[in-house]
Amino acid sequence: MKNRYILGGLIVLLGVLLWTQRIISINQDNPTTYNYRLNQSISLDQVTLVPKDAYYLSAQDVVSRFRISGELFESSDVQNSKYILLQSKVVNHSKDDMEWKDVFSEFGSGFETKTWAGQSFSALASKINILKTDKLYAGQEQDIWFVSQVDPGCFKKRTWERLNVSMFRYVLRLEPKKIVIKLG
Amino acid sequence: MMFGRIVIFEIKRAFHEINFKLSILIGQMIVLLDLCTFYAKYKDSDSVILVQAWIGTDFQFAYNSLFYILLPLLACMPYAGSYFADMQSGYEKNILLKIERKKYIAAKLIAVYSSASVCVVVPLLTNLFLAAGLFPDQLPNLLAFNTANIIDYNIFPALFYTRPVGYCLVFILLAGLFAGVFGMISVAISKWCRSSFSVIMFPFVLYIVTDTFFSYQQGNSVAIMEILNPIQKYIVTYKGLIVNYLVLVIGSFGVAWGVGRKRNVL
Repeated sequence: MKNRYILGGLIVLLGVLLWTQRIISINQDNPTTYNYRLNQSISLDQVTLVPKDAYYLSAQDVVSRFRISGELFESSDVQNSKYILLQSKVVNHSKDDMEWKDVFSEFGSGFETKTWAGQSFSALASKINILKTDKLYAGQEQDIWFVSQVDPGCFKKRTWERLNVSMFRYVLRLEPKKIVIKLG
Repeated sequence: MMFGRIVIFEIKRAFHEINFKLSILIGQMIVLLDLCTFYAKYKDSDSVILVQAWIGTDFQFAYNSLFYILLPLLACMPYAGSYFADMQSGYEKNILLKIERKKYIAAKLIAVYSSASVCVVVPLLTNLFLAAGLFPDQLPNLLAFNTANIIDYNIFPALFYTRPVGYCLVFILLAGLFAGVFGMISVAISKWCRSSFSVIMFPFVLYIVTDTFFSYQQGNSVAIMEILNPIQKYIVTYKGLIVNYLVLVIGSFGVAWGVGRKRNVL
């Protein structure tokens, strides 16, 4: 009887060790996250992106800075929100022209902090992006803006008060490898 | 009889109970069913990670809800009814001839607490261990929105997004701590119950009723069920967690100790 328990215990221990080995091997191939900072050049398939500057603004600041109408900010929840913006230079280094919607969808993941994520606020992005041409032609460069709305309802009061631009990251891509631009 | 010996005796009694093994078996079945269902659906996916697969944070199937609803029953089934059974069978009278009443009560509470905790923690740890061999432990992608929706208002949000396994282990610990408390509640109310069924069911009923009344439409909750569930469908606070635990521990210990010490059995 005692020998059976010992044998059973040894079998369980062997199983645990083999499974632990499996856990170790499954976690060895960790996906890479490519981290960049402002003013670092990021070369992708057809374009090169250089993030230039980041801002964390209130609705009023956005309206005055970009000289846009305030109709987007008329509802109270939008008024209380803030906006995280990333100004970047995009260069089409390929031989083909690119549609702007393809450019923005290429880089359109969104912003995140440690505990929050927000996708692109496309209604505002379409107002603040002044595109010189109807396409991004081969060899052309252009400044573009990425923007997300940051809702205070997603944060505790203390976190909201301490939130600043350095706490944000812009995610260019999630797959196949995550490409992240740290704004601080 | 030395206190240590009676504690060991009670713990051995608890861990040899058939209900202890039954409780662990039921818990294991639930967690394994969840893992098998999850694996069957996502085995070919490259982007699924451990924190999606673990039962505590797996919001896709009903097994998370099932486990956390049954948690007090899994905790109390093994040994929480033993104090009531000892009173009914006359065993209490026998044992009090050999040891002091307060030592007996203390040993009983320790044995109930430890058996209840083990019955809840073991299935959760097993599920985490098995899931870790099937899906990699990677950080959740906030922008993929495919994990439990933990926001800044929840408890341990940074831990979830930076150390997901740490998050799982913290909630396993919390489940173990509260499971023990449910067992203590059963011991505390044994004097007033007429059957071991009601002794075991009382913490479960309390758990369900408090969830109904203390989970608010605004999205926040002070109910234990919502505090223990790692998915955190409701906003719970650290203060609510600590206050709940202290009130239950002090209350159940105080009642069990106070009533048990005064009870005239001889």
